[in-house]
Amino acid sequence: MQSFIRGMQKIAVLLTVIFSITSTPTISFASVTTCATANYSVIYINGIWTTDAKSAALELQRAIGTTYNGQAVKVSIAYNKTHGKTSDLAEVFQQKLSEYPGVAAELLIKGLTSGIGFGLPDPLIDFIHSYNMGKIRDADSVGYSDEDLRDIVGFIRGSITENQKILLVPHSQGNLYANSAYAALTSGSDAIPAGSIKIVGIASPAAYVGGDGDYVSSTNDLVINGLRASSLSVLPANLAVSITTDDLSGHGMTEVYLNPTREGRAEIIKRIKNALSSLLEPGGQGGQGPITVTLTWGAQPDVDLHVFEPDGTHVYYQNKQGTVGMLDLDVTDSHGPEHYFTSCGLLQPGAYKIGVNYFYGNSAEVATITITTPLGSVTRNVLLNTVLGTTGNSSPIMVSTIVVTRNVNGSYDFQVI
Amino acid sequence: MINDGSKILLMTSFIILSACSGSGGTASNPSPSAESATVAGVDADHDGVRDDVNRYIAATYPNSAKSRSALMQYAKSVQTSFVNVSTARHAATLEPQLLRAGACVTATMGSATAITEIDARMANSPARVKARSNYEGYLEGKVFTIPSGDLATLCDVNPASLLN
Repeated sequence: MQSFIRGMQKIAVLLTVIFSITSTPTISFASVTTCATANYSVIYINGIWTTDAKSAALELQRAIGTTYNGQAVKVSIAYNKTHGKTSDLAEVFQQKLSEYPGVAAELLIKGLTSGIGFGLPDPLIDFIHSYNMGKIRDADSVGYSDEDLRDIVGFIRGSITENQKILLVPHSQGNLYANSAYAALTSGSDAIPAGSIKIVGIASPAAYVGGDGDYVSSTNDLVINGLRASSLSVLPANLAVSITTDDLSGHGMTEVYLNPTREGRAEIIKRIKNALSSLLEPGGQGGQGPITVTLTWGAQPDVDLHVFEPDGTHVYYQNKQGTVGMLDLDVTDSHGPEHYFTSCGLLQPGAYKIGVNYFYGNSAEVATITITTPLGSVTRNVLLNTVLGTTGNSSPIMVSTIVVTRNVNGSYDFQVI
Repeated sequence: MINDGSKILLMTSFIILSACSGSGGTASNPSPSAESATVAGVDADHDGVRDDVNRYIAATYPNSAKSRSALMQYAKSVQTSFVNVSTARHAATLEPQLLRAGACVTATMGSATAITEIDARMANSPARVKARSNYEGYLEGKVFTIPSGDLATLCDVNPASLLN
């Protein structure tokens, strides 16, 4: 009997292998059925731990709602850059599991990355506080490069082109990222209107809020209090949010600041709505749709955007109206922008190929292309060394392809390659 | 998509493998060490969710099929992020699915706090913490939009079709 079972087991393993080879990959695309446009773009920026970002951003979306003063609100996550400062998490987790064998693994990992729950020994709590404060100090010492900020800056520039008002809501170390993005966007010859972007910072370890924005920091936030006590220049606490056993550190975005049973949530939403009320329309003329593409560049005169639609229609400055979308902005001065968008009703499945041509200039230039779908945004930079003029119209430098498919539910899926 | 032939092969494999026995647990009742021995863990019913997480969801929300369905959708996406993503492109494709699942949870349960609990249970071993860190590394610096819409849009299983 045992021989029979072992033989059947071998057959079963073989069948499983065959199944694995013949089945298709399990990754699937997110789908949308709505063709929503947005008047406000709220961008949540997470703190040192990426894990907490989704629950916090979803809770923020639920708290704000999808409209404000009759205008549509879109909420996005801009994932922070950690520069590898959190790469030791698995090792630290393993070490502490060994040191504290009676502590549940779930409670420990949650304590390290989301919130210090009830039941952790005091020495371990002290360690977690020091560990997290150290991470924030490390991030503060590194700063952010243009490359670090590329996608969030591109996303915001694209949104501004489409006349959206911008609100950044960063948590913890995300405030440093937000301040850097704000500075990059509101300085230089291509600065966006300062009245169209604001920050409301939460649990900020920074010394200021960019653009003289607002903030909420709890008097019971042990992480921020610890940083302040260590002589780091930190904004003073301005709200008493009472302690919760969901997070004894008093620092978590979901567990503390947006906790519906605590004082922080209502105050944060009030300040967010005040900020939304104060935002000014930037005056962008670009249309919104399921696919939008924004091209900007530096000081040189002219770079052109080229889009090849699924049926082969070539949309560019000499043919602005495509089958599905149109080139609705064609600025030929320094910085641009040029802008393409697809309409909801005419969207077609297939590949949308995006390219650029360096039409006129005197030196090397960098083109920045931001592609936005209902799922988010991708920004790419392309170095342009050679001016091609009309010669480059038929063969622009290809930057990206957007693959649109229609699923069995009738909604569209988007993948940016 | 899984075709009918592949489904038959898979079910046959499951039935036969379930006949295994040995020390430290059985295929139908694996020991805790077996369940955390690998990143993928044990998923005896092949529903895409680890059995230990499945048990947690069932035990914590016994009276709400809607909550269980939403959390299973989220856990399944997280599992994929741990075991089936090895490039930035894969991560960029999966992340909207994760956000959609998270939006389903929030819309169904009225809060996102359950997501934190699922996240903690999914990453309950050093290898799984490492897998999650690898996935999250692909997301850094990128921007994703949280989907909005009705429950039928956000959830794989329309909550309206569930009894409670």
